[in-house]
Amino acid sequence: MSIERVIVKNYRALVSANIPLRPDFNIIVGDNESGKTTLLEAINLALKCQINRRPVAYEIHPYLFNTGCVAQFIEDINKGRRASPPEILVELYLTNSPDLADLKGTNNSLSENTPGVSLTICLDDEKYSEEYRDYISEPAKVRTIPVEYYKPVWQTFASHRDPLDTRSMPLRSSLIDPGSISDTYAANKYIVEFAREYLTKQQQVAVALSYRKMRDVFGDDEGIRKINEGLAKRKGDVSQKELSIAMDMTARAGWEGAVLPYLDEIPITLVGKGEQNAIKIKLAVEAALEAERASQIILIEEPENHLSHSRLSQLLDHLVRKATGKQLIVTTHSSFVLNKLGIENTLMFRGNGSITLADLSKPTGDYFRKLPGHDTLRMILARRTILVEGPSDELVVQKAFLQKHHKMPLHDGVEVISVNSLAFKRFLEIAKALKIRTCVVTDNDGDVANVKEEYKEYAGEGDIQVCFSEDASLATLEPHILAANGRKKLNKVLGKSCTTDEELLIYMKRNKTECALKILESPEQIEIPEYIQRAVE
Amino acid sequence: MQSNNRIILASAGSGKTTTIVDDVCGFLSGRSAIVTYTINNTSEVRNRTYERNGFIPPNLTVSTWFAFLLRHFIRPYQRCLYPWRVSKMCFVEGQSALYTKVTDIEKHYFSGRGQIYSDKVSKFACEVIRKTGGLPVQRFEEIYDRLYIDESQDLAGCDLELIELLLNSHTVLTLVGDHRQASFSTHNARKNRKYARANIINKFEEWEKAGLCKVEYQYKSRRCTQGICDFADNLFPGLPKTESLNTVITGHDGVFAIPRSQVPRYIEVFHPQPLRYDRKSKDIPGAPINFGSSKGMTFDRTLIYPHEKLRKFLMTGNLEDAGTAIAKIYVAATRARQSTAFVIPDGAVPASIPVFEP
Repeated sequence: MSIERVIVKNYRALVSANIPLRPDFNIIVGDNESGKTTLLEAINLALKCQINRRPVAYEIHPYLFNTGCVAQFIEDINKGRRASPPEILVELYLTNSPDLADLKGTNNSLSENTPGVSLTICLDDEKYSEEYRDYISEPAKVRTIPVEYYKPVWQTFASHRDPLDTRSMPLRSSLIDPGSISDTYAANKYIVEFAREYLTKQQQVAVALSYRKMRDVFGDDEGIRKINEGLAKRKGDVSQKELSIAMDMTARAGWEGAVLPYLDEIPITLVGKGEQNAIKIKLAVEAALEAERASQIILIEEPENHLSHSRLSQLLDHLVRKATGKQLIVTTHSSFVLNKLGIENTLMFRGNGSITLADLSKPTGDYFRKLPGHDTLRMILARRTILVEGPSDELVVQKAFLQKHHKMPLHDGVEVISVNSLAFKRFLEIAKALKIRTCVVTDNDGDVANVKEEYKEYAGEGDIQVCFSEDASLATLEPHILAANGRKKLNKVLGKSCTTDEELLIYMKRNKTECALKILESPEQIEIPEYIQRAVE
Repeated sequence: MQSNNRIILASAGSGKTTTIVDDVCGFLSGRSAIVTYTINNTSEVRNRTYERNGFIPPNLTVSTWFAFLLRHFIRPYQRCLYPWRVSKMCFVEGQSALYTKVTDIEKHYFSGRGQIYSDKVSKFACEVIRKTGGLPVQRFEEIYDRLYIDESQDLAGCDLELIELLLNSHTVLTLVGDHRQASFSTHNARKNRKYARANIINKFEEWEKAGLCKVEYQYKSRRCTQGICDFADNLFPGLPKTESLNTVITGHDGVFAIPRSQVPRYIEVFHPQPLRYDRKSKDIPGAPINFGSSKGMTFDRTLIYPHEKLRKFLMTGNLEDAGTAIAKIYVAATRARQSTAFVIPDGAVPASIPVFEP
């Protein structure tokens, strides 16, 4: 029982996402603000109809809607155009198995006959059509979405409403977010969650009972009784009624507010954040698996937070061992997580698109399977990528960037990745699929026509730029640098005193990286070959 | 292949609901659905289940026929015919939207957005099934292993077409009913009119011949004393006689006529449940129940306020005088365990039942 596909429309950062998932492990990697967390949130939303553990109906606010779609709506209304009010849609397409047949139907945006659930947050036009008409009757005053008139509609693909009210929602999920639990409010929330998922029904009742007894004991305490007797004598001072103090007995004062888990006798709120996080994840996973109605789906947000390398490693081993047979959806920034849980399971996510290795051509997929996760992750997380052929090119590109922008590329979210030139196309395949702005800097190796032919398929790709020199007489980087700067200047930069260009060139070619490092570190303004200059524009 | 589907035709008071509940509670695995015609019957089934089992088994759903159709045979695949969610029903007496084309889905089936005419629910369901090549039936048989339909004598029109499709599915069907109680049909459709009312038995027998099901008869009443059974049997002269299994003797058992002036005393002594033909019968003490609504209910004693035709029948004993509402009279007469009493004018002399003066 697992989620096969998630479709999200207009929810926070996600305008229109259609994400296929694997039945076992899914590692979602993507830059900050690419909507990874939003995706987890959206999945949890459609499974539980809750935001922040409260029913969605109480939590609808304009910022749940994608800002772009809201702006478009307001603009349309302001300009007097007819526009339908924005709607949020989250659809979960589930595996087609007989035990989910009750959720089956074609009421989904793909009109697929499959089990699933959807959550729509839309204008309640049965109840509020008049109010809404009045609201848009003065277009100039429309500044936001009238969420007061909105309602959540939670239903199965069989169009059966409120699936959790009946037993027809067999799918259980746990969302584990690493948010710190240092403050009391968060701790209480955590306790409730802890109790709901870790303690059995009987244990919960037992705790509640003990707590109530303790409150009674408080009232019987000698000291408290004397105080209350004293207060009773002052009847009339504040009120005609008898004043006394007791522990809060109202329903809302449950034990959840007064109980905390301890680790080695230290309250969990005071334990180090890393420990807290690891414990929380382990507890939640444990709970998710052992509860009376075990979760089939576990959502974890950035498990690496606050964890040292070795703690993370332990935690991941634990996860892999425990979550076998479950659907695990993890977001991460860490190449370590990526490698540990398997590049196979990676969902490279960027805003509204995603790809997995399976979507790439076989040679490309195989290439990244062998490559340690780090470079792949750098590429996906970067705002922009410059691919170069080796360390010397990398250093010179950095110099060019520094001279042009007065800061290092990484400060601008630009990754300069040095790869074997044969692998350029592998990286470009990912770039193309995820629309990552990418620039390739390559030597012409003395055959300009060949390079043109090699990369001609990328000619029309707006996000991909291939930079090479059109001068066939200058085959590689070093002759270009020499041609651009002259022997005299280079002798100075490299601390050499070569008397001919040939001699200098031979030196440069033999000591490529060292020369490139000197060029980068030199205070001198270096003339950058035109094709490299283009790459850093 | 021998079909596991059963149609059980049984007399009033033979424990049809009990039979269903016993059967359902016996299955610990697989899922079952019980479908009844009225909301009253739904709660009756639930109550019986609580009485017998202590709780409603998690693998059991109980719903009304209309809710059942909407949930399983319309909504999951309705989009192939109609884009808006079919959200509620518009109750109609007689036939809705008579002069509309079947192909004009919106006008023919709906009174407003998402509001389907009550007489066309099963017709629409059959249309969805046709249009999708049977997807709703496939979905249904994946979910349910067993389906029980109570009061199945009330099925009519396209209901029968749907039942026939289900008889051919993997889900095992048990239809129970009493064709003598066919007092309302789920709708007044023209289709299958020849099977309407008591003639529905012909349809059942056709299905049996086609090997789709077995038809069983039960002519034993656990509820009514022999006197009541005999009176009720007289309403359907051509059918086998009912044997009473109720052996309780209270000293006031059977069918009686009560002169109107004696009613207050009678009520004081026996506390009968008053029943009336419909709201138009006035001046009835206590909380009277209409004949039609009393279906499925059981009381120790009843006091029936006859309508004009029933009064005439009581006097003459001629069945022709009873009019067309025989089924309703049958239902009313068979509600009581021990005694059924009819209110008659003072001094009147009924044809075949004794006058009782308390």
